[in-house]
Amino acid sequence: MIFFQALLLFFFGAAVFLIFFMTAYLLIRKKWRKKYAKWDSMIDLLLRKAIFFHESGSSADQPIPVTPRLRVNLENRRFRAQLTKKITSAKKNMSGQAGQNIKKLYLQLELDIHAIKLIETGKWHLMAIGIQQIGTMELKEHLTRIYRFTNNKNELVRAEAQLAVLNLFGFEGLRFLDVITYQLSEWQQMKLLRELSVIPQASLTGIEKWLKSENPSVVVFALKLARNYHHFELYQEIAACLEHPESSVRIQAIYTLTEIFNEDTSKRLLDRFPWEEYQNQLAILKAVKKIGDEADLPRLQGLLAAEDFDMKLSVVRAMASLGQPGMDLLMDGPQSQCYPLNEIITQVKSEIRI
Amino acid sequence: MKILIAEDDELMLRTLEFRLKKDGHQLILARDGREALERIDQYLPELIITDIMMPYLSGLEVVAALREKHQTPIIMLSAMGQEDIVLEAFRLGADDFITKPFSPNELSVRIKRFMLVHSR
Amino acid sequence: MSWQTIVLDIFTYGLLIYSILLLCCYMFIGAYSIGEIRTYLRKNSFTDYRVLASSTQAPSISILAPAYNEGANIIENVRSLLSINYNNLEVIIINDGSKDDSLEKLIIAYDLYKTDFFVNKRIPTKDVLGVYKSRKAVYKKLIIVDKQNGGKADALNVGVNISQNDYIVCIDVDCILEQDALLKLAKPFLEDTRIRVIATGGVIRIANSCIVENGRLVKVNLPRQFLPRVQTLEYIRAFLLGRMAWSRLNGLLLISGAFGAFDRDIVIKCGGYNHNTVGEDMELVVRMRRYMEEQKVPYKVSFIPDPLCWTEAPASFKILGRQRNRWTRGTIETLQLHKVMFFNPKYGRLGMISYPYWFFFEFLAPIVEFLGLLSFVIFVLMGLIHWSFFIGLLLFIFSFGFLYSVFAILMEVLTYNQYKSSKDLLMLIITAFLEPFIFHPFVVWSAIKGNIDLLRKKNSWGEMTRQGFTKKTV
Repeated sequence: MIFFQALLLFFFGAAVFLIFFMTAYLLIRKKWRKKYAKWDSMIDLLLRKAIFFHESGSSADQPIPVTPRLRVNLENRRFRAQLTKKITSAKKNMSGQAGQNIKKLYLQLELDIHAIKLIETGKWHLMAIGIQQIGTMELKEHLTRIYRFTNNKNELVRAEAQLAVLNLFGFEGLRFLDVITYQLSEWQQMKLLRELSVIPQASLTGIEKWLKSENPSVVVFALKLARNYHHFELYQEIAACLEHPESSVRIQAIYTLTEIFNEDTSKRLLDRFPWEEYQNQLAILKAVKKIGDEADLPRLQGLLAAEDFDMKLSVVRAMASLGQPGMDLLMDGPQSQCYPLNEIITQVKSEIRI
Repeated sequence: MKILIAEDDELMLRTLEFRLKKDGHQLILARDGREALERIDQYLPELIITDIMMPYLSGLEVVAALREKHQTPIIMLSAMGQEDIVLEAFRLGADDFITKPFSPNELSVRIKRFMLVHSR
Repeated sequence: MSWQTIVLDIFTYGLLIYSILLLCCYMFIGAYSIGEIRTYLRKNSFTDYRVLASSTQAPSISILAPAYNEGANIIENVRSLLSINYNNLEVIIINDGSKDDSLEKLIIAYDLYKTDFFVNKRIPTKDVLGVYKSRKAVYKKLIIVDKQNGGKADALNVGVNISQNDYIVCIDVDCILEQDALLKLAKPFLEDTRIRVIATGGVIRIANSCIVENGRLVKVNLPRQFLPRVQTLEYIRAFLLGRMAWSRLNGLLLISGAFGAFDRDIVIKCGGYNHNTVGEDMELVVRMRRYMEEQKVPYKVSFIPDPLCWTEAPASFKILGRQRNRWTRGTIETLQLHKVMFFNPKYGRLGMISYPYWFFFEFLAPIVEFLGLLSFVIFVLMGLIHWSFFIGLLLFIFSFGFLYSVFAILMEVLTYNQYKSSKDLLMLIITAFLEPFIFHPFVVWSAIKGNIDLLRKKNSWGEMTRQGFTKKTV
């Protein structure tokens, strides 16, 4: 039973130790909080000085004044981290002269050197911080260093590198789409599109290549780009994606075609219909609702016989959207007075009224 | 002019305050949507500058709530440049929309122009 | 050696081995969980959820909130749900045949009218009496469904039938959501490139004694009463030191019924919630996982360690007892329904790790404890007891439990730190000390009663009466 007593003492001892550790941690953290607050006001003041620097009459070559106190604090890792965080956040919010001044401050304080050091540690979460800084602070000279990370095995490093490259080179930065082997997650695609939306639009070339990429997520992303930036000239390539082996690509092609279409598109989509899986079929019907015309009505009417009720609903919606002939055809149809079509038609009619 | 700024990023808030105070405006600050609506009712500013993403009430909700009672000009600030957000802001009644990153000087100039247009 | 001593020895060493296995499991899961949370927090600092909030490509979500006799609070709760910052959203409130005037109140408050709605009964349910929408544009996300009373599972199934979106979020209507809750819950569905995420859950926190204003949590307080406080500790242990590890192992079996997101397509293919069990939330997750295993499609059930939702915990022994009784019956019914998976390699990790763990260490644990206690009493009466051994064993388990709780409290301080004052933390530590004396035996007893009740086939939800949060008047 010595065994028990030993373990018992060990457990209780460990518990007591943890309690002391917690107390100590809380006290230390309280101390640090006060310090952080003081640093906060110091940093805010410095940043404001920097942002409005040119207005005090100084020339562009003069360094931004930094108090000796701040220089001393700069040696402290935590202070640097807090300062860097605030500087990058400010840089994201401000453009023009203010933005340039913030960058000037960043370089003056040699924070870029620390960013590189973070990248060189090899630890993924530190590398990501460094890469993000280089992107936000527009340090174009480090492009080659970052570019190779766009296909890094760590997901976060990859993501931050891709965003940074966009930050540095705008639409040109999308070159990495030529070479990446890892898939782009939907989330990452969303972030990339968001990043692009705040960059002034430049001519986007290379989409044709990406539409034929081996990497299905790249094709999906290219389809989104084509849609968002209205690349009507790529119609043929987009329509070709309707036959892609991956269903995620095909459904994205269907969505894209609702923006980039001509008078044949709805017919082509309906041609695809029998070969597609269920979710994509619903997407096709949604598309036809938007871009279809009266010529499609006969085929749509044929689809009314579908077993699945949600499918019937989508067909009815599509037909109803094609004007009075569509509605007439619906009302006169053989099954239209019985369940379920009668209820479905009633619902769709009330939707249109709204 | 009496201006209310609603912005949750402390640095941005202080920067805007500093810039606009220099231009000679009187400033009221709010750090989230709720505070913004309270202060608008309390101080009745002549111009409102609000961010879109804020705690408690988003900027869009502030505009919607505001337009039910006041006709004060509103300038929206946002990191979201997406078309549907901009359209929604205008539809709800905003008068101008500035995307971040923006230049504080540009804002200052826009406000001066506003004063010219809306005076008398 | 008399047969009695042999029995005693088998019993004693059996108990010891079980205890040691249990403790080892806890330690391993605890350590693994903490590691995963650290990784998550590091990644999370790079995440700007606002990208998701405004994107038109964000996944379409329907919030399903069954309501039964919620009374006066329903208007506030619905308003709180409608103020969620998310673009592609439907808020579906399902009135499960309430006997009070909830529906009338809602119709007036939100200017509702009855729509012509075609209900596609993909999952069989009790009848829908009406589908209501609002005339006001600002409430366009709201849909209220009136139906015949059928219980929570049936109400949720109606919601699934009515929803037009890709993902459903099932929620208790009086749950207080964090601002980013929906964004955080939606993100895992977008992140994985090779496997399909079928469900996501988050951390549920206890809202007793917290201050709520306009449907938003304004101040976090440690519950003043003992029972909710000890449950706070329990939840901290379970969520911080448990779920994350299971999620990483892809063995998570339980997503809280108070707040969880599911892929609607898969829910329908599995047949929706099972209304014959009181543990419908756990049973659905297990069934969805089983379905994916049988289809041989790679999948994942994901978990977010961030606190997403605040709910009220039972504050009286009576209601707590009913809750734990129901949880036990739910667990057993689920295990029974899917017993084919027990140590069945066809079901991968689900069958070889998750199910057996739940069987041995969740289902059997209270039974083993109870039988242990019973036998202990018998052996004392027979005068055979090794006192030093048993007292040693008891203290051993007690000290481990205390250590585990203190460790959980420390992790909570180091990660999310919802309770900041040292007074609160001291209270938690004292609660950890008192738990084995006051709370734990009661929970075990409720579990045993659950077993007995199930054997007697009692089937009821029981009534949960509400105390209400501490409300500040506006």
